[in-house]
Amino acid sequence: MRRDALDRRSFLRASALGASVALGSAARAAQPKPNFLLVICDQMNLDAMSYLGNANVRTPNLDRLARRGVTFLESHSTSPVCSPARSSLMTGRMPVETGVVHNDLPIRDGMPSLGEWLRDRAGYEAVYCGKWHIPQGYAYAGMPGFRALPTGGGQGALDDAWVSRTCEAYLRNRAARPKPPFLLVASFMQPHDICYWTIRPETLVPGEMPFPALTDELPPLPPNHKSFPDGPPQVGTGYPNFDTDLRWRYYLYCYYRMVEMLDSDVGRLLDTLEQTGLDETTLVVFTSDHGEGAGRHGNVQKWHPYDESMKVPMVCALPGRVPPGRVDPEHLVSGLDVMSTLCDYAGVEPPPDARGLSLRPLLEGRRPRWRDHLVCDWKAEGKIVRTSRYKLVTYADEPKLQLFDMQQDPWETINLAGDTRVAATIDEHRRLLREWQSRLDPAPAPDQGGRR
Amino acid sequence: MPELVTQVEDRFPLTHFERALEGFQPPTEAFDPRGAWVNTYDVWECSQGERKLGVLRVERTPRGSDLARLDVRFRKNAAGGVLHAEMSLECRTDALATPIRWQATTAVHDAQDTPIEDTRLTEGGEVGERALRVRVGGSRARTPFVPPGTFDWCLFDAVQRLPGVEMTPLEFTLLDRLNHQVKPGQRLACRAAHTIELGGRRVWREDKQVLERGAVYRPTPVREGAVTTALYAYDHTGRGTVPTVYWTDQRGRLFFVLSGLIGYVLSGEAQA
Repeated sequence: MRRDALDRRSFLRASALGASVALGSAARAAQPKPNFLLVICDQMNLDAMSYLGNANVRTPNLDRLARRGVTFLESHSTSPVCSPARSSLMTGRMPVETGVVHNDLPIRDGMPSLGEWLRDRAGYEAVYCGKWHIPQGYAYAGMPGFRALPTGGGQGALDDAWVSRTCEAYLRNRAARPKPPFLLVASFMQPHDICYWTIRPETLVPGEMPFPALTDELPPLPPNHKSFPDGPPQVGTGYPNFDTDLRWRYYLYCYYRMVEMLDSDVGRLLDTLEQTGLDETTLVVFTSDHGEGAGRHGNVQKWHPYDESMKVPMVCALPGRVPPGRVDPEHLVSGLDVMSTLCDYAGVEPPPDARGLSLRPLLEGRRPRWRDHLVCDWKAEGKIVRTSRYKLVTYADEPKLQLFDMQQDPWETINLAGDTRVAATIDEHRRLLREWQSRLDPAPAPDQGGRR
Repeated sequence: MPELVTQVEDRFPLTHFERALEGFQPPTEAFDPRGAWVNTYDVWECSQGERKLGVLRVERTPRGSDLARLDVRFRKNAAGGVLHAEMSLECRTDALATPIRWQATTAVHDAQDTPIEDTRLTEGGEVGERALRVRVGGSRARTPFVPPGTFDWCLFDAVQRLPGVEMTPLEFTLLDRLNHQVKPGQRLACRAAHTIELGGRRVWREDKQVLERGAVYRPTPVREGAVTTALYAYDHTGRGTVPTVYWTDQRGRLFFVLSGLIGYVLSGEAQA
């Protein structure tokens, strides 16, 4: 029965895809508005997917999603911290503009959220379930722009199943009603639970291997585990509390199991879309707020300007309109782009001053003119300028810089900044940074009540 | 049993749940894991602090020698709501309490305990020879499933009938968290038998140490009101599972299920 259905779907997708590719821009604009399922997870490395060749984790559902759409390999968070990155996902603006420059701050007054914009401008039913954190922890009654399905209150191991289950319930129950298109945000905590393995290492990662039978299954350490390139002091020199390789490897083992927990929750959502027929009309976007140290540069958690913190998954699928199974290794994409992409598919302009670009032309296989650099924040006053070849890392007025050749040194082990041969490269990246910053509209400092 | 008596704070992963286990008194009444019983657990989350977030109640009713019915109720507090789940399973009495069929309903209620629109979901399913057959809403799905396999909540029953250190490790497929995503590659094995001081409260006692000239008082941690109890620790590891340890007493009663940040601790409401 399922095979028959899939065959029919494959045929329909192939037909629709052929038609879509042949469409001009006017015809594209006339296409029906898709539903949106935006899946946000927390602290997932871009490469923590078996689809991308990571042998330490098995993610059949994320792989399934990736096979249906486009997976970006140059996908960057706007900031390697939860609240700032989430504020960008929800507004298309940089953290310095939303005012959410560190955790637990609200988005600046008057800045519309993705839910408000798509609800008010495009008639979407905007629903949010799971982690919010700008600043309230979880979806709550009265949250800006969204109807909340309140399931949260804890960490991922306990709550994520309820997020996916409740999203499933919403999708199945809404089938009985007249249907405006929906924007459903499923915001999972995992694999963020791993943070507590470092906050309480003495009880969660004991010195003696707690499960000896697992010893042969522990992941290897990354090649840059003991690489500490010189740089601004804020970069740090790694996490000190795991004193043996075995502790590090057990930490990684637990991290990947959390990614697999997330994978099963994503699987529930994908199954629900298929079983309700919504998969044909729903753009699924999967991303994370930021990455995870995962032992690279001896780091845990996030906060760092290195790729393990900055790079995040970005997988988009829409049968019939997005050709399946492509990996895009080239284009620099950002959490800023979610707002512009969804607005594009919804047929509305993004909010004024939205900084992102619509991924739609990339998703649909066109070759648009694309950005040649990205700017990201780290630790509030740090900046990263990323071009196709280099990454420049600065921190406020700190004179020490980092410059990495990301093509020759993708694990970021050699800081080139002191080499006079790259002085012009540094100057050029500084110029890009100045120009970018000159276009931004920084949020005013909050008043005593926290409002701006 | 080993002679060594250890304390909660010395034994992984009990040590992570020290606060949640504080005051736990091991039940002393008779318990037959093959009979009818009700176990109720407080659900703890131990991240930066310790929080009791919910309750899990598991009731077993034997149905002849080969089958049993499990009725599971789960309730968890959420920000602005309460999560409810009820699940009834018909299971075999084998080592994994292998499920045969089930019914489940979940819903989210608001702070006034009124069901929130669109959150109620009812499902039924059967475990076939090589597949799960699930009915949810108006749809039916068939998912490949390689036996042996079980649900996470069935393990709350199954481990109580395992023979401790004599057991042969079990390898199986897991279905957990009311999800139908199969997780192959699971392993359940008895790690060890431990004799542990449970319950009571850790306090600091000042021990006087007489020196050549005068004396000093050194603080020493001691556990007041603790009960020495022999426990089996069963380790559960596998794909999509943060390593989990099931702790039973020697009659089989499941006291704790501890997995990363989450702990299920048998509560005083438990009844034989």
